[in-house]
Amino acid sequence: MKGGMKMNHSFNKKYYSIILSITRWITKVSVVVLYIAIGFLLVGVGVLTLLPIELFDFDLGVLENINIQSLNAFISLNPDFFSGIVNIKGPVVLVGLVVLLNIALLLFIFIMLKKVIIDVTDDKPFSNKNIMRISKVGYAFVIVAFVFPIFEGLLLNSFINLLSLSNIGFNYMVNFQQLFIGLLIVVLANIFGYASYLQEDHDMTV
Amino acid sequence: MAIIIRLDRVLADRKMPLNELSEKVGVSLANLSNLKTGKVRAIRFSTLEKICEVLDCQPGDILEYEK
Repeated sequence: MKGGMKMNHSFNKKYYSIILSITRWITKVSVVVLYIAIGFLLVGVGVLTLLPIELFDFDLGVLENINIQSLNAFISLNPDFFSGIVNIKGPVVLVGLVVLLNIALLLFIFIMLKKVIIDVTDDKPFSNKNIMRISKVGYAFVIVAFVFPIFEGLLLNSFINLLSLSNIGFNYMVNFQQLFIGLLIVVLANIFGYASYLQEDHDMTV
Repeated sequence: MAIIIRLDRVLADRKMPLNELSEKVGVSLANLSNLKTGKVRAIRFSTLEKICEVLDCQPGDILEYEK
């Protein structure tokens, strides 16, 4: 009846607890670092948005090389073709927003992971809250797989417009890697749900 | 619940307190208390066997089906 995890004999409990404590420490530190990073980024993006547009005038002639890297493409351009002064406020703010979104996702995942690990160390690995947290991470990945490419496309388009490149276009494509990771996590959460049911059944048996 | 636990009745007949049964059967007092109040989902054959052995009764004396 008593709750708690029954360990298999082949299971190395000492090794498991070492991994748990290391992960717990890493997630703890990561959450703090990410909170600080997100704070700085928020302030930075805010300040960038408020700055006068003239400050963002940029001379393309000083560029030594131009590389545009996207999820599915890497474009290297000859800087000799580009000259003149362009305003880069839009792309810079957009870069800030994309980084902000990425860090927000990472922070969300780490917060969830931290809570899951706390429950696991408290011998409650199959708690309903844990299952909810794991599913949330999975669904976040699925949403991100569809949403992030939009921002990436916007970013790429802003650079394409900035450099007046008429022969380069961007096609929207779902990030299948993130989509499959998300779906896998959702499936794992469901497996955890079944494990939770088995645990409850075990706990309710005298 | 269609299955009713009559452990309290058998214990009263044998004049045995629950903690004594707990010691003799080797099941915690909390678990036996849950069993007595019908708060459990299942009972292992091994537990039932030990209870019957200690209380010198049949499983039917402890478990009762009510329509």
